[in-house]
Amino acid sequence: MISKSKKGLISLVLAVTILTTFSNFAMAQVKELHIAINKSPWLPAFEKLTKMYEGETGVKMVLHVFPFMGLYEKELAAVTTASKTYDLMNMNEIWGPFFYAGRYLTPLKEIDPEFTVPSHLMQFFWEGYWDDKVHYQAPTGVLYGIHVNGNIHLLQYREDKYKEAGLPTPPETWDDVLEAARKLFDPPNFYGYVIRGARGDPIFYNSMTIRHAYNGYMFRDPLKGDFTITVNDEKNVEAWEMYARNLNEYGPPGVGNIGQTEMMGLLASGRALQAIVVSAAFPHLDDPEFSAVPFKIQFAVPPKGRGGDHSSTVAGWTMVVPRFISDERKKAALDFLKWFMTQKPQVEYTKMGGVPVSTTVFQSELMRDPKYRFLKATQDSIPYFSSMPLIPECAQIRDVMGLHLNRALIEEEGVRESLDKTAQEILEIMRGAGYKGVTIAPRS
Amino acid sequence: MTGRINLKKLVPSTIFFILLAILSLPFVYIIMTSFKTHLDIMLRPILFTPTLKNYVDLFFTQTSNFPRYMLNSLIVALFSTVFIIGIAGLSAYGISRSEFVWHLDKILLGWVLFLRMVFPVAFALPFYKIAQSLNLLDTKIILIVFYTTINIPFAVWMLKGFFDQLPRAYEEAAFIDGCSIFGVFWRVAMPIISSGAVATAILVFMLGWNEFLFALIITESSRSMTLTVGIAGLCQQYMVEWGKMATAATIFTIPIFVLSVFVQDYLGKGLTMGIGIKE
Amino acid sequence: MRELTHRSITTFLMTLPLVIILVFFSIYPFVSLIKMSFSSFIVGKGYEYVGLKNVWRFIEDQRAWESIGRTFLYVFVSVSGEFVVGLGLALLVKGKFKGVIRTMVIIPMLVAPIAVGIIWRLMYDPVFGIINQILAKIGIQGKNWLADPQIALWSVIIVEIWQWTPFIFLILLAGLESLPKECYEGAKIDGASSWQTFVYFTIPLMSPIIIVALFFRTMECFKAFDKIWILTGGGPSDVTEIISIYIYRVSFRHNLLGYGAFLALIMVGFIVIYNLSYMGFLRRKIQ
Repeated sequence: MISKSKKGLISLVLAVTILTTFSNFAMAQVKELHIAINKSPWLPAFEKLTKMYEGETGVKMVLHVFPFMGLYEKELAAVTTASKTYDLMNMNEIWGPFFYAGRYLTPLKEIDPEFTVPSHLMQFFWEGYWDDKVHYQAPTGVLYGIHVNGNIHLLQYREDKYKEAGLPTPPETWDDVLEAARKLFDPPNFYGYVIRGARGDPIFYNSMTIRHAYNGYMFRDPLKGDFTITVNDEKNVEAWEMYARNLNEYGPPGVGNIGQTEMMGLLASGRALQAIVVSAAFPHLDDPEFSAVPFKIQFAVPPKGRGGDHSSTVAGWTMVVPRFISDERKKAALDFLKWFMTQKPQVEYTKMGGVPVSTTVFQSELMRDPKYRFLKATQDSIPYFSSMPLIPECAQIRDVMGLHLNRALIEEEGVRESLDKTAQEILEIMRGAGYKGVTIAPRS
Repeated sequence: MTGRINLKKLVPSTIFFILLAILSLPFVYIIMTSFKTHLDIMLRPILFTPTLKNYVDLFFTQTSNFPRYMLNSLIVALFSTVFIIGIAGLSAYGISRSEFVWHLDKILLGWVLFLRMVFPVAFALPFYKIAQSLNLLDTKIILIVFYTTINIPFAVWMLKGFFDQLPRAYEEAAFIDGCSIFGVFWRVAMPIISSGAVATAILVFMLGWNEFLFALIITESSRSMTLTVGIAGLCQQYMVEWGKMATAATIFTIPIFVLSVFVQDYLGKGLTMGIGIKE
Repeated sequence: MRELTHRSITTFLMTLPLVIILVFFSIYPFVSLIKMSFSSFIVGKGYEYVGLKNVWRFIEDQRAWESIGRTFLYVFVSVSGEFVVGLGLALLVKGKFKGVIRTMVIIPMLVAPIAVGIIWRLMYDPVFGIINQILAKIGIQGKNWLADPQIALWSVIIVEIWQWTPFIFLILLAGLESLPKECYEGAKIDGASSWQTFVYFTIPLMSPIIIVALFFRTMECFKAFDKIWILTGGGPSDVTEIISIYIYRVSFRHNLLGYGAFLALIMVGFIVIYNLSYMGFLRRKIQ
């Protein structure tokens, strides 16, 4: 016979166990979600979305907004000190590989083994994935994050000016673009093409579109682990020659220090014909307080290069989950991301000026609205997405290449010379980082 | 008599006003820009239709945190200045007026100088760790502490310089009259160098007001975020909002301008030459 | 007879708060800095000790040396310019123009550094900038102030001088106005002219203040970062890449955080050398 006191003890233990299990269930309901994010034109759209989520689920969304100049340092400090502040971090692909390789983040499948990326999501060239074996962002890798901003590079041009000059729209090849630039070049009132030539990331990104269009890439086959350097092969040289020498002739003064703001300013003030600009800029170009040419700028897939094809380089933001927070919080973070990808939030997001990541938006009424004409160009660009080399050393490579490209632009270096020097420095970087067997491809 | 223009006084004044005008031109441009739309900034440099939109957006929309940032900056800069002047004043006087065992004063001065010579970037992560371990991340308190630490070197050297420049006659007189050392410091030395102390205070306040890197690293939310971080947010990835930036610059210069005027007028001048030695 | 100058406990205690602060908040960062300088930051693992590897890297790093040389030039020209203008203004303002007008002189220093960078970048813009637009109105062809490798550095120096002259002005003015009038009167009675009074009396008397002003302004100038990053990012090419920009790139683009820390440490040495050398020069001149 179990004594009374023992019975009492057992029931007490049982009661406590049941209670704690229930309360654990209740505690598993995370009350707040903390997101580190940057100030940007699409932030208001994102904020509205988080309010929607709060309304639907009751989870309080706390946004920690930092300036773009500084978000990286902030997140770096957070991950290297195992901070528990953030549940989600908005991460630019610039520093993505560094964070992936550093194991600072949680793979999404670890949080929810059943999770798969919905098929209606645009695949931004494997950003968000990381394959440790090939040391590259590849589909064979582990998924760490979801794109929250489907920003891509598009050709943005003055359709009215093209039509006035009798030129076919949209321009199909870079030669077409050059032709238009030459015809309509009228300094100092009107410039044919604007290169975002400032040293570093600006010229690197801006030139990537045309280089890829000519089939000029940095490495031979990084997805398979082949890092033979091809950045100075003939295709790259041809593309860069077209950009830095031919198109540059019809550009505005001071190209060596033109940044995104200046480039958009030239387009928006009606002083320039065309440029490669990111799609996220779309709200500004129709805003009468910002633009002198509202609704006159058209968006198109970036043109083909000789011997190549269209190419649209992606440049977006991925939201990732840091490693150091509790499992409940990780799950809550993933829940938000899952909700974010569904159609209704995506459409709302676009309406408020965000750049969607789901193709379901293409089935909405927004496609017929001229305010969102960038959507058509985005849809057309999907087969041609490409990206920069996504390895932890990419920030360093970009910095080095950005310097040489800038020098070529201001004619301190020759076109071929700048690419050769870049190849040499990339070689040193890769070898120094421990990649085996990297060589520069011989000139064919 | 009237009618005779004093050339000796006129020429320097004219030169001064010309220089002042040149120095102020960029700021005049900033003020003008704050009243323009982005389009006007690009296309119409001199004649334009003014608009208040930038001011409204920055301060009167619901989601704007700028008033909060301003308050944070004010509190942090003010408190750190008070602490700095107090601590640095004491130390500078002590160092200036006495001999130290083992040349500790030279060591102190040198150490303090090294602190100032290091690029802030190198200290960013260590300071972050300190704040994290004290659980004071995202608080104004830790910002005040850090600003005090990094700006004290300047104040110590400045005030020491002013004390060094001061002949000891006044203090010795007071001392002989029976004042304690602290009393001499507080009632004689500090007031005499008040214009120097004021200049130091203004500069130290400004250093705290305009500091960016540590504020960025430490602050997380509007609880402690300062102006400089807030202004940086106007430099967005795709575009810099020139108009709002000019507005922020204009508005945020005002508190420190007013403070400087006040501090110079009321604290700076009064007591300097008026001390007569009762001999 | 009580003497003011003596080893008093009180004076020692007066420095105690300073010492406490320094000990608590500067030792750890310093130690960290030294540790980081001799380590490499490995992604995922943190800092690993690598001995003198960073030293060798620095010796062979041509870009670093060029940057340091460029920084010396930048600092020398900027601080000299600020000193000349600041001194001139202080002499003009001394004793007059109380309050608002005097404070107007220091406005450039009060404007948020990031705003200074942005607005000057806008003013210098070859197409939208007000400088070129005004020049065009009087028929002069404007230059590419920030994009022309020949003049970009000077354009940046001008901004530096504009922004920081008030710093030196304020200190020199306070120094000038702190001098007891008796000294002036003594010299005047002896028959010295104002210029002589100025050079042989005022300047030596003010030398501690002048030295502090130059010293600190120089140190701050070495660290200039925000506005140059915004104005040119170190470009075009690398003509405006002063050492703080280079350290930033090394730390946050090349992710060589250990080497970046090392560079910061080395720069302390360079700043000391620079300051000592011109101070020695100045001391001789003043004497």
